Formats: sequence, C-alpha cells, structure tokens
Amino acid sequence: MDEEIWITGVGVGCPMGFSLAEFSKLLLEGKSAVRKVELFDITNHPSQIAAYIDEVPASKKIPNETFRSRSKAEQLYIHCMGQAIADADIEKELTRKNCGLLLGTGSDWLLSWEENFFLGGDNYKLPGRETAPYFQFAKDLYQIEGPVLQVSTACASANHSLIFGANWLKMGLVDICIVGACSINVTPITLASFGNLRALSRRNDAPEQASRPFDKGRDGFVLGEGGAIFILEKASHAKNRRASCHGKILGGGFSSDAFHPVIPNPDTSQIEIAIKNALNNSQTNLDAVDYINAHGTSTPVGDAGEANAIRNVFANQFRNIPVSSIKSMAGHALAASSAIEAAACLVALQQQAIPPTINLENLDPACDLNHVANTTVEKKLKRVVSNSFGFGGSNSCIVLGKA
Amino acid sequence: MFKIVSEEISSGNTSYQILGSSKFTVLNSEIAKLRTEINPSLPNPLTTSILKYLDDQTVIALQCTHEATKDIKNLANWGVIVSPKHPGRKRVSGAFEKFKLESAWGISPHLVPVDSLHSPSGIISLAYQINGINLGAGGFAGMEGHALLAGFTSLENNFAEGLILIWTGYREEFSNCNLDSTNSQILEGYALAITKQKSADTNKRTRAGLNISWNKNAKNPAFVAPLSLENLFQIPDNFQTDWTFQIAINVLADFIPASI
Repeated sequence: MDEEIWITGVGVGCPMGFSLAEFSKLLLEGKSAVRKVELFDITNHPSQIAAYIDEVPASKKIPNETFRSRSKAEQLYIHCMGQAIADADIEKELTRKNCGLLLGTGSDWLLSWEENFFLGGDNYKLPGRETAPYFQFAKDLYQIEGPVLQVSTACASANHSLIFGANWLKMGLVDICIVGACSINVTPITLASFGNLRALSRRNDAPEQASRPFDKGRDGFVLGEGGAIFILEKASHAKNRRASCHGKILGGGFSSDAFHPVIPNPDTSQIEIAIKNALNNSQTNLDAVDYINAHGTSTPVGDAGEANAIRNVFANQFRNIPVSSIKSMAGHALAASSAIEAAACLVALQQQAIPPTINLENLDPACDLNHVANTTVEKKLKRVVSNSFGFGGSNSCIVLGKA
Repeated sequence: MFKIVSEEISSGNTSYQILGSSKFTVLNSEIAKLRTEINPSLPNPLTTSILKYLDDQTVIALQCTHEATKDIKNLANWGVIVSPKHPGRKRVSGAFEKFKLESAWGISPHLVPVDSLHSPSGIISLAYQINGINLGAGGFAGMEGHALLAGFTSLENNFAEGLILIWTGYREEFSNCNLDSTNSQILEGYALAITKQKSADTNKRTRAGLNISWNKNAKNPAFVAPLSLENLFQIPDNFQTDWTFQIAINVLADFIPASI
C-alpha cells in the first residue's frame, strides 16, 4: 500500500481571508465575499459583480516597495507560498533539488499582456516581451530548485496540481512538493469575455445573492480570484521532522468530456468516471465519503449535470452524503478554484463542520442532492471529495482525508 | 551533440514506446488554408463555429495529432498534453484595440475558451474523442519540458493508456517583429504518441522508445541540452540514434532507436 501523503503547510489568499484561520471563519459563518466591482469602469459590462482582492498583504520576505512593484498575481504567489512554507516550517529545506513546484494556471501571458496594455504598453504586439509566469518571482525568492511544472485544465487546474504533486512524492521524484494555484481574474477583459459568453450572473443589484449554486434562480457564476498553496510530503518525511498534518491527499481521478470547448456534456458519464477513478485510486468505498465539495458554479447546465453525476455514482447512498458549493460565497476563482476548495475541505476536516451553499433558497429539482443549505452543519468527517471541472471538458476529482 | 548522460540519473526510470511522431511547419499566411483542410480528416470534425475561432497553434496541433496517431485505432482511453507558446496573440491584439473603442462590448466571448493554455488539448480531445486526461503544460518559451513531466506523471499513475504529447510555437517568437509582418513567420508543431513499454519488449524494441530517468538526490544538474521545440525538430524522423534532453533539473529524457 502506498505511503500516505500529508499536507503539512497551507497558505491562503482570497476575498474570504488571507490565512486559513480567516478563511475558515467566514466560510463557516456562511458570508459572501461578492460585491460590486470597483477596480475599474464597469460600464457596458453585463456582469458588474465579483469576489475580488483589494490588496494582498505585504510580505516580510522582501521590502514593501519591491513587493508592491510586482503584479497582484505575483504578490499573491509570494503571500500564499510564503505562508505555506512558514506553516510547514520547511524554508531551510528549499534550496535542495528534491523540492518540486507543481502549479495550476490559466494563461499568465494573457493577463500580463492585459496588465501591460492598461498601463499603456504594447507587449502583446511584440514577441519576446512575455514576462515569466507569475509563480517565477516567488520561486526565485524562495530558491526552489527542484522540478517545476505548470499545468492547465482551466477551472480544474489546481486539482491536477495537487494530485500530480502527490504522485511525484509517491514516484520518488521529490521529497517535498509545493502545489496549488493562484489566479487574479477580476480584470476588465476577463470580466467582459466571460460576461459576453453569458457565463456570468447578471444579478448586479444583489451581489451577495448572485452566486446561488443548485438554486432555481441561478443565472451564471460570479467571477472570483485568489489562491491556495499547499506543502505536500510523505508521512515518513513529515514525521522525521516532526511536522504536523493538516490533512491527507488520498487520491484523485480525471476524465475528458470530448464534447464541447465550453458547454458541459449533458451526458454526465465522463464526470462519473472521474469521480469513480478518484474513489478507486484512493481506495474509498461509496459509503466512506462523508462530504462532497461540489464544483457547483451556479450555472444552469453545469450544476444540474454535476448533481446528476453524483446521483448516478452514489446511487441509493446519495442522500446520505452532504454536498455544498463554497462558490456561493467565494465566487469562481477559475484556475485557482479547486485550490481554494481544497483549503475549504481541510477546514471541514479540521473543524468537523461542513460549510454551506448559501443562497440556496429554492432548490432546483434537477439538482436534488443532500444539500447543506445556508447554514454550516457539524458532522464527523474522515474522507471528503472535491469535484472540479473545466473548459475543454476536463473533469477532476480529489479525495482528501482527515489528519 | 545531445548524447551526454553525465551523472547518476538513476533513482527512477521508466520507458515508453513511441507509436508515432510528426513534425510540421507552416507559414503564417497558410494557416487559413490548413484550418479548413484539416477538418474533414478529424475523427470528429469540428463545427464551423468552433473551427473558425481556433488559435493558430491549435490548428497546427490538430495537424500534428493527425500524423502522429494515424496508426492508432482507438484513442478513447488516451490522453493529450499540449505545450503551446503563449497562444492568442492575434486575437488579444484585436481585443485590446476593440476595447479601446467599445469597452466591454467589443470583447469576444471566445477569448478565454480558445486562447488559454488548456485550449489546444481540449480541442484535440474533442476532435479525436479522447476521454483520458487532457491538459496544457508550460505555456512559455523555455517551459517545453513541462509537457513531458506532465506526460510521464500521467502514464506512471495510469491516468491514460497512452499519450499524445504536442509542442507548438512560432519559430521567430523571440524576434522583434510586430504583427503587421507576420505572414512570413513560421509556425511549428511536433507530436509524439507514446504508451508504456511492456517489460517483455525492453530488450527487443520494434519501435523507438523514450526513456525518462530521474534522481531526486542528484548533486549537480545534468549537463544536457534542454528539451525545446527547436531541439525536438533536430531528431530524425526514424529516431535512428540516441538523443538525450533535460526536462527538469534532475530529470532526463532519452530518445532511443528501435533495437531490431
């Protein structure tokens, strides 16, 4: 049997808080972080609301002036990575090549071109002016020397990074692996593109009620941003240095719809395969699943599809398994969403409490599940499942365990 | 020139069979023609509304996939990993200009779905009806090794039966030419179709192989050329000699000829 993979450090930065403790508090209080966008002119934007970060807290690692000279996405990586490294107390290990970095992403260059464009630049026109990926500054700052991998499966990216990272440890490629994702998404072009795609909620006059997964009145997702970074180690490595365990990565599974670049397949068999693969990979019986953190974006088609897949996989057990979507509070952080949701799963496992789906007032019959609606529920939790699906038809599912 | 296996890269080792490969170049001015020509040959032809918005790098990735997988009957349980180099420049350029004039109204809803790192692999999974893992890796010049890192992680953990690995990019991406003079630019793509080597085949390979080896405790970085699109293009089509590339600080990739 494979050795356990422990999560020994966590760093969080999102509109719901800049530490696991802050995030945990708002999450279990059921507080929405969605509000009117005030970062830029939102005239003509079909969706004018988001869950966004005003300012990333300064880092003690570098002078404030240097920190503020970096882009918000780079600041977020510095914050989350620094917090996770400090939490795991592994900084002295990081100049070794046996520490890997495996991150999920969307498309850093598109955002860096946009950032530069709004500062009056034209980097997008001139090949060779691409800046480094956003994680690079933090990687250099912490002198991470081992293998580096950046993967993208759109909104499922971070799940892939966590599962791949756990496998790098099992394969013996590294002894420590830094995984997760950070994503700054609330920008004029991204908000406009998703808005014009009709993917976003237009409930502009009631921001806090706009993200309502599984509710009859849902009308699209709310753009979010943020990130979470995790330090992974084999249990033996962690025990040798007396590290504490936040939770365990027990396994994961993937599949592809092969149906449409954007639209989820109404035939949910591939989602079901991803969940089944994750359960098999983690040797988890159906009745051992204590909670499902749903992808639950608040889109009409996506939520109904996911609910159908959960019902099909868990059959007559589905009513015993509580389900919630924290996107109702945190919005949809795209490539980083499954990192933030993995942090939410750790909160649930540590606090033995399930964060709710807020705004779930009128359940869509097509989304019939055992929902944790509007209020946190206390429950003994040992194994939890987190689903994430992305554009391009990528489906992912991760199984996390209690420390 | 790349055959320099320097040190103890040996704590982990895995081998794959190369079932197909392809390299393809096209002038920027010829991409529109390729875009329409490729579609009938796809197992699941794309609708016009999808085809017309594809990034150029996705178009050449489709062409490379076609060539590399022509001898493989069923790709349903395979996966696809694509490492493009910052796709989307053309569309983004237009988007920014339109944003200046029309603000949010001028922004295409297709921008994120078709120009992101995940986009080429998503389209290939659709066109070839691939239900295994599909993902983008790297995305920046110099990060081409990420596709192989993601690939061997996937195969070693049985996330796919086999993998199509694809690298794409403009040859002169780093030259200082602007968009008005790109018609003579060359777009390149390279693809490999690989599966795990069966142990019985190890000493009698009927096909070229790819060996990945790693050592997490390597004292010094291996002195080997990095895996890049440019370097991949130097490998002869028949893989008749060994070629070794570095894909991470302590991970090497050896392309090995067939033994019979």
